[in-house]
Amino acid sequence: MAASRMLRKPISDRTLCTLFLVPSLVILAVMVAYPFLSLLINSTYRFSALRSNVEPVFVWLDNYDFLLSDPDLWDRFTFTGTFVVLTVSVQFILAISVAYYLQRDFRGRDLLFTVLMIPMMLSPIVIGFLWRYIFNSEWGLMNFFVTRLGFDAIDWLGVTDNALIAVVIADTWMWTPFVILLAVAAFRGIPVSIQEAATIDGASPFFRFTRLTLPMSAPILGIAFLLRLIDSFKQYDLFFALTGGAPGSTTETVSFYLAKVAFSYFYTGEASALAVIQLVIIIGLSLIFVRLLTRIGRQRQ
Amino acid sequence: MKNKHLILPVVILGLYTLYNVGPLLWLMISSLKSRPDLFAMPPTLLFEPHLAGYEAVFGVGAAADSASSHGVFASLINSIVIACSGTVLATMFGTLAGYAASRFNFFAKGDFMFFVLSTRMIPPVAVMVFYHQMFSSLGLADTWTGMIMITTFINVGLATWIMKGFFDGVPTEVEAIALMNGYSRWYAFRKLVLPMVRGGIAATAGFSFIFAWNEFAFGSILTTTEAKTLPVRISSAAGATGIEWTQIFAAGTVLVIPVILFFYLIRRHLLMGMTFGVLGKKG
Amino acid sequence: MTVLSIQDLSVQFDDVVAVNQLSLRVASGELVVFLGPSGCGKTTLLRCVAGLQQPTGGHILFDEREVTGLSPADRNVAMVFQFVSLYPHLSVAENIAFPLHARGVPKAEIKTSLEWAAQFFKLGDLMRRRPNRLPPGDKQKVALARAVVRKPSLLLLDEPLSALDEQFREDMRWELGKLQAELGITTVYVTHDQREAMSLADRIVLMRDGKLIQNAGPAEMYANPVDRFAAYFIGSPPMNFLSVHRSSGRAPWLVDAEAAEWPGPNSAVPLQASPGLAARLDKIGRDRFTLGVRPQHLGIDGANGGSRIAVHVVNAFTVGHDHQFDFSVGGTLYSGMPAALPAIGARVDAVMTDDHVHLFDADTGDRFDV
Repeated sequence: MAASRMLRKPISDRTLCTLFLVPSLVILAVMVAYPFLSLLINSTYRFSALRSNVEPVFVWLDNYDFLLSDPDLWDRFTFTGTFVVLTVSVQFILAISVAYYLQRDFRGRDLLFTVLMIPMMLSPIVIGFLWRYIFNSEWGLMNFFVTRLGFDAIDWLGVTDNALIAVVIADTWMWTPFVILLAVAAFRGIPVSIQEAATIDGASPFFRFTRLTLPMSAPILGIAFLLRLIDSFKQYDLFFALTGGAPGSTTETVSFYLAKVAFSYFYTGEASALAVIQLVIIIGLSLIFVRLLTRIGRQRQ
Repeated sequence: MKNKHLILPVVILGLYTLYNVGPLLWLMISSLKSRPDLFAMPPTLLFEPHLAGYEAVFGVGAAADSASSHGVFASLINSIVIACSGTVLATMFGTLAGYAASRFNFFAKGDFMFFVLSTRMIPPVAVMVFYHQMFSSLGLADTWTGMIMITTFINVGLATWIMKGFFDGVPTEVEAIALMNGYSRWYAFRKLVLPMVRGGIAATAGFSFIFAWNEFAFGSILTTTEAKTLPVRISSAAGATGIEWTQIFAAGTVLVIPVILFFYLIRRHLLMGMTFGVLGKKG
Repeated sequence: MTVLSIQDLSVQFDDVVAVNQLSLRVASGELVVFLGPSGCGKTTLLRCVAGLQQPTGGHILFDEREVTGLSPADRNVAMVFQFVSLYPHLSVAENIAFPLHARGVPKAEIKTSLEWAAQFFKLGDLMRRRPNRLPPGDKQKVALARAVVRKPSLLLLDEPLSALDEQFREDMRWELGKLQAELGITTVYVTHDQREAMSLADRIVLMRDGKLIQNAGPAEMYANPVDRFAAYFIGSPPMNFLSVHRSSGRAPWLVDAEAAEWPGPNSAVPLQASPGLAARLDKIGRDRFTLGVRPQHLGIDGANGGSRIAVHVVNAFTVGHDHQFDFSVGGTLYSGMPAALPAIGARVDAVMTDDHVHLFDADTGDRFDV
């Protein structure tokens, strides 16, 4: 059998490599490169996908000019920014405190750890509706507890600030496990002898945590941070299900607004320009992310 | 003294576990409630189970024929077909590309690895404008084929990165010995290397499935009736006639169950999957 | 300067007894090496002294003051670990200053200490660098500097050289000796390498299975090992052990296979005991015993009239300017160091220097003191 195999002329490594890459390259070309180029081109025209009989008009950078001078867009950016800052910082504070105690071994640790990871694996749309139900001002679980504690019922989703807090609570619920996962990995990656050396040197647990554990975990926490930054910046599903942009359009993220410009107003040219802006931001963040990834990958080898 | 040291950890871990697990249990409990129980204040913990939501999702019983549950069962079938096919394709393509990236040096490899990652990073809405046009003109909108393309696309980057990580863990000597004994590289890949990364393939498939199964943004714009997936169908259960909560929670529970099953499958590789194959093994 | 006493110390992990009722004393300014094979409990014992491990029984005293329950930070001990435990995100200077910062030492004092460390360990050019890129020997030097910079009462070293190349080890050994001479800190050093122990120690504490086997100076331990284990563990190449029994035949003593079940006939070789050795053997009055002789004390055709056995040379080679030859009795390989290299296959008389022949109980391994 082996002999017959040897008789056949083997495929060269080069051909094999090319063949292995072709499917992914085709997907990248069709689904990433081509759309991006076409978005770039579309973003310089004024047209609407809804009215295909109207000739697109070439307008240079007018769409960008229009978008960047549109206060509505800046409101969306401000809101998205507020959401990102709030949700990411709450997740990190919570995750680091939990991870600090979860890095040690104790009975049932593995089971607890596994169970705690589940939320990040769930469908954001289901989570959105679940929290919408929990946050309902009349029969939601949240207000049940709030009133039980002696406070007045809160109109969670009808007031912008409250709605923001509600989304942060839901997003934190979903994504804190991810930060915990990486923080525990980072903490446990620090050699025991380093912690012991510091203990013998007389460093208090707090001193050890702030001067050793946190700085030494920085690269991996950096991965978690960038990924959370990117993901919460593009967050769409959760807002769709939980607030729907309401009250008014005050809880619309950039993604949400983009979907509206593209598929409610059908301003295809402006939507393309906004998509390009969003992509440029994401690509910038991703570049830093990949740098960090490769650096850590190299360190671990 | 020992007990005093335990108070803070127990309080922090306990409260967080409550926050973490509570809502999930609440989802499952609520999926069995009848309408009056759903809106009871204070909320009820003991109630008579009510299966209308599940009947709608699985297309059985009286609830399945009601107008409000039209197409729910069909969307479950769509979800299964689309998520599974997309998972198989993404895992296959990712395995091949991951092997190439692990073993060969090719032109602009770094750029390739970056761009393949973009399939995970790109905000769906940003490319949707284009996909919408492309799918409409090619007749792919609202079809299984179109949605399978989407679920393959969203996972191929992650699959490539994770599989590269697993292939990096296999010594190159494995192929070197086979090549010296006169076997082809293809043979070595298929018969020697692939069996060694079986666990990695399972993990990659697990991750791909979970993301495909939960996909909402693309589906919500690119499907209308025929290829609507379950998450998309749920979102329209929040229509003009009010929200069909039982349906949503039943569908939510049905969506959660395979995720937990697959999650169990990939639990050892969680860290690897969530960090693009760079960090290995769970902490 | 601190006197360390360990009294009846025991450590038990689940069903494993790592340290078994061990007592010893380390005098002020002394450098004591805990030596033993891996798993003998030497590192556990050291970690108990550091406070990283709580003993299940017994006491640890510094200068007659009980420290058993104290945390590591309250003992004023310093430790250097087997694997370099420098903080990668801090510079060399910051690493060395870390224990001082952790204790809130004033800035000016830290500066003086750093200057001392830089000068003493010749770290001048390295102080601003990150430890990651330093050669391993320099890393351990920095770790040592970090350990001693706050003038601990006790310096503990856990196999600090085992991850280093030979060249670095020589350097570090010198550095340690200098440190010991200048500061005179009471030092406990753990290693499994007997050569390291021999070259460094004022005193060696030899351990096995959690028990103290012998507690003696290096020369004493080499010359008078208390039992077969101590004799085997100290010295390189290791001591030869010949299994000897009384015979009713022509020769009164036969050297037989170590493994009693060796099947070959005629595997026994006559031992021509010198009058001196014969007298010792008679004094012990046993029919079976183990004869131990170091390769250094086993030559060929010596004129010193020592005890001898006739053997075939199976292997002969030269290491540096030492010659070595191997021979086999009943399947066990023995070696000696002759003055001149014999031919392989030659039949020679292997001759022992009688003064250095040790006699052990064949069953218990204890040394007969005759």
